[in-house]
Amino acid sequence: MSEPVWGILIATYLFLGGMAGGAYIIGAWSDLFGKGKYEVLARSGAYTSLISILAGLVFLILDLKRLTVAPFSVLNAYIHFPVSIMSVGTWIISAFTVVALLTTLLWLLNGNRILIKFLEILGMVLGFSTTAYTGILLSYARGRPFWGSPLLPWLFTVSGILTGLGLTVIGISIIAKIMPRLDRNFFEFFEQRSKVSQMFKSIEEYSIVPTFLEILVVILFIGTVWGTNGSFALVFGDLSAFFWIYLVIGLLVHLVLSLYNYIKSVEENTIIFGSLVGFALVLIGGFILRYVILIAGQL
Amino acid sequence: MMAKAVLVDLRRCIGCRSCQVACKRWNDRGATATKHNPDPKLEWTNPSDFSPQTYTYVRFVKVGKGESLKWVFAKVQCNHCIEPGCATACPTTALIKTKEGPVIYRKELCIGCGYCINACPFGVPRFDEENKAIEKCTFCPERLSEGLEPACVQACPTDALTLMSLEEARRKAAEAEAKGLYTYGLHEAGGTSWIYISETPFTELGFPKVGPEAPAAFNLRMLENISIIGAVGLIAMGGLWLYSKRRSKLEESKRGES
Ligand code: SF4
Repeated sequence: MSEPVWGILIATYLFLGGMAGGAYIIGAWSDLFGKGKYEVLARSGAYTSLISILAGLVFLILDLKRLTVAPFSVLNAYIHFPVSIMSVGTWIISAFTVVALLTTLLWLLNGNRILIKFLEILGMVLGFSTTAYTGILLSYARGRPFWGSPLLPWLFTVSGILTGLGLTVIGISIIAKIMPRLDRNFFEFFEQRSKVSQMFKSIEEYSIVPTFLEILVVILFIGTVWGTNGSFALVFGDLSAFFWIYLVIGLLVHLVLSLYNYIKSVEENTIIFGSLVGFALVLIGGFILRYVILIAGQL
Repeated sequence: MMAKAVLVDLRRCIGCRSCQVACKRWNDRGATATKHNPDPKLEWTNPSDFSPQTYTYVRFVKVGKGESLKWVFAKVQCNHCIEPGCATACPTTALIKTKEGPVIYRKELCIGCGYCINACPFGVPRFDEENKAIEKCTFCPERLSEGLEPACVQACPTDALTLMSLEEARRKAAEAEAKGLYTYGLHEAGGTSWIYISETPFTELGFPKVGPEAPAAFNLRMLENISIIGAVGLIAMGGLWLYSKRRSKLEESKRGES
């Protein structure tokens, strides 16, 4: 088998791209179906998905090995549409980035609500496609049997949604605390602690389903590719430490915290702090997941 | 020109490595320090893998043990798939299949994404960090167009390598298969333009096991399975949601009664 070609830059790109799609879906969903209760979440979803996809693209482009000799060659990636899945992905991600940018601008300028809703529907489809694409790209790579499972795109999608949820929540707090002038809505919202804790609590509740689902999907995924070098490396070989860290801190800690908040009535500030920590760990877990799968496939 | 192919008859190969040397000479590939192959079955193989400087090499495989031990020599290179995985994956069309047979690389289009390396089912392409280019066997298109054989084919003293039309190569391989011999490239990945015949199963020679689907069919099947899983998942989650809704309603009405 060929030596590894994709490393930490591509892992970061897959992570940020998947998370961007997830964050957009969460934001759009809560705006379209939230009956106006979740506007900060909707705004945060748009802003953070834009930042995440742009950062992801930077990592992707930095990994192109001919960047230094032919910087504009990157545009060639649009050519082989629709035969090459990577070319398809390039179009999808470009369209998604544009829609995320427009949504962000319209929110910031308090633009036309109908137009925002229209963009949100479009962006949800593109965001979903972006997230799933990061997995399909790997599952089509026939030289790497470990990636060759139809469950991999779903694993990345579920993880994209969960990390996206985490990113929007963390985004709310960061914008409110660090850059209140970007959008006053956040600052005002964050002043009302009871509202914040209520929202975070219900988000945690909602996140219980994707967390369980991710645990299920990751186990099924490994089952479908059991016997490949990568599967052994992941479960008890060189990468197992990372993998278990992902399972524990990326999923279980968050799950326990959410269930605890759900069952016990905890104090407001503890809820806010707890869910922020939990979601930060989810993000770290999401990154580790991309990294171990990328490396394991190339062993 | 008709589509060309090379039939590789492993029964005729004596392991002289003339092809290996001819390839280096013709393609101006330098000598590189090689590594000892850690697999005892393959320890005589040198170089032991492809590299930007090595488009082809002869695998020296020990088959069997003790009295029945025998050598099998197997030259490997890009198989020039009829529908190449690398070219299908390539987002820029830097890699394309020509109708003459060779899968060629056009550096000026390449962005260096590395996807072809992951997509080739046979683990062939390599990235040359120095020249910032993908390197692999070219099937000597510049020689074919002059009516010459590829450098390796011309150098082979035993005719283990023969250039012919793709049709003929496929026919000969099919005949060999009917006689109980093993083939590689007749079915693998939808068929390749370099086709092997051997008395020894290719799994014993360490050739990767590759299914018969061409890349487009492989990708389509993958996408179908992805969609089926999605549909099943959605239905299951929808069912669970309805169930939990009904249960909470029932509980409410019970509470109302008592
Ligand atoms: S063997 Fe690999 S590199 Fe050669 S044409 Fe097929 S997919 Fe491409």
